[in-house]
Amino acid sequence: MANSLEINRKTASSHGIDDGQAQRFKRLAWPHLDSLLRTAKYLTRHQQEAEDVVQEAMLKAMKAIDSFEDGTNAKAWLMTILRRTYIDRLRASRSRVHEVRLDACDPVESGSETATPGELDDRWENPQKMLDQFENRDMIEALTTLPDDICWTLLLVDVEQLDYAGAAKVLDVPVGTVKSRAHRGRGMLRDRLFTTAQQRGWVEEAKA
Amino acid sequence: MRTNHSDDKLEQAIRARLARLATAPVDTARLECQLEEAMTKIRSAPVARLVNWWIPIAAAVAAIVVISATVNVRLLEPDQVPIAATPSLIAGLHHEVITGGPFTIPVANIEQATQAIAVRWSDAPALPMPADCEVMSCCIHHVEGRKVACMLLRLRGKLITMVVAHTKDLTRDDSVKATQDNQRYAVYTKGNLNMVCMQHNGISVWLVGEFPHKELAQLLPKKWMTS
Repeated sequence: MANSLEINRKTASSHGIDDGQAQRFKRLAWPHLDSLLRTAKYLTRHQQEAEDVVQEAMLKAMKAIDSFEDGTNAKAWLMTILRRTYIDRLRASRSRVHEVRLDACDPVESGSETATPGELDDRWENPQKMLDQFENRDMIEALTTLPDDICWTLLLVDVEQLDYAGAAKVLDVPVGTVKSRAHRGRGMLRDRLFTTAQQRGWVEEAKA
Repeated sequence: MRTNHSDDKLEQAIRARLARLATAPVDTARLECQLEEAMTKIRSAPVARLVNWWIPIAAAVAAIVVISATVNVRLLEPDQVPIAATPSLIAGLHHEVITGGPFTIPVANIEQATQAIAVRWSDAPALPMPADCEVMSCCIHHVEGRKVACMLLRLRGKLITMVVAHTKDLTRDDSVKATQDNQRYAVYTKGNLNMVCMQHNGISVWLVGEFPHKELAQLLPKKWMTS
């Protein structure tokens, strides 16, 4: 992706930035700080680690500020850098638990993890009621057990409300792939939540 | 048997539940402090290297740049088109001002703010005095190379940013305009922020905060609303 190459090139340079660039960066990036930190926190599930990832990503972004074109999607641009930073850190720390998730993430499109139509969902007669029973941490737990690409897709599209084109830029895949991943991901999430609901004895409750 | 309708309903419910994760509060305070510190270091580091190596060359280049810039500015000035300040831009400035930063100057009143701004910007526009507000700090920001003065105010415990610029540099976005009580000012909303813009004698002023538009507008003297 041209944008990503540009980012890497700029980041690799040791040049400092002037006050004007710093101000421009703050104006672009600060409004998205909460989204970036939230995303990192959901992925790492650790406040300090999330802050470290976001800080590293933000400093890369600041050094690459000249590669950002005004009028384009700043949030998507920052998320792209965050994702790359997150993956780099993940790869660098081989002993982490998350390493397993990277290995398990391919191939997304060929997976058949979702339930057969009719197999589960007639039990979800009131999906809203069922989903309301899950706390945020349950949702995050289920989300982060999904393959990385699926997890990122749902975080970008459904949680952070990026449009498909923006998410496609971040993930460096075609828009159609984002749509199919999002659809598949929701199905996988539904399956995981259903299992949790079964374990907690909620399924019969929801049926009633 | 499941139907397409129930599929959609379930998928929509999952989407809605995921969207609610974005409403969970996130504390960015510590991160912001860390970033400010790191940004300051990055900005000062290259200067230190230059001092060791390149004083004569840097001085010569700086002189050339200053002369060129001055000539360019004078040549370009008559054709300079003002930037239309979008609500996002102004909201971004507000966010930046309330976040603070290394260039923020604490001040107690409008006179101190005027002095502090004038030291750094000889051609700065006159700062109006908003009624009933406590003045907290001021700073100068750059919007696409144009200077704007920003003041952080407090009214009944809530923060308001006042952005002041020469209209030839920064002007209001006329896509949204409101007329109320024969007082003309542009109004905008971005998220939970309301903002009003008034222009008078070649100066544009924006007030941004979590107050109704009319209340923000009334903070400025009447003359600002009749232009």
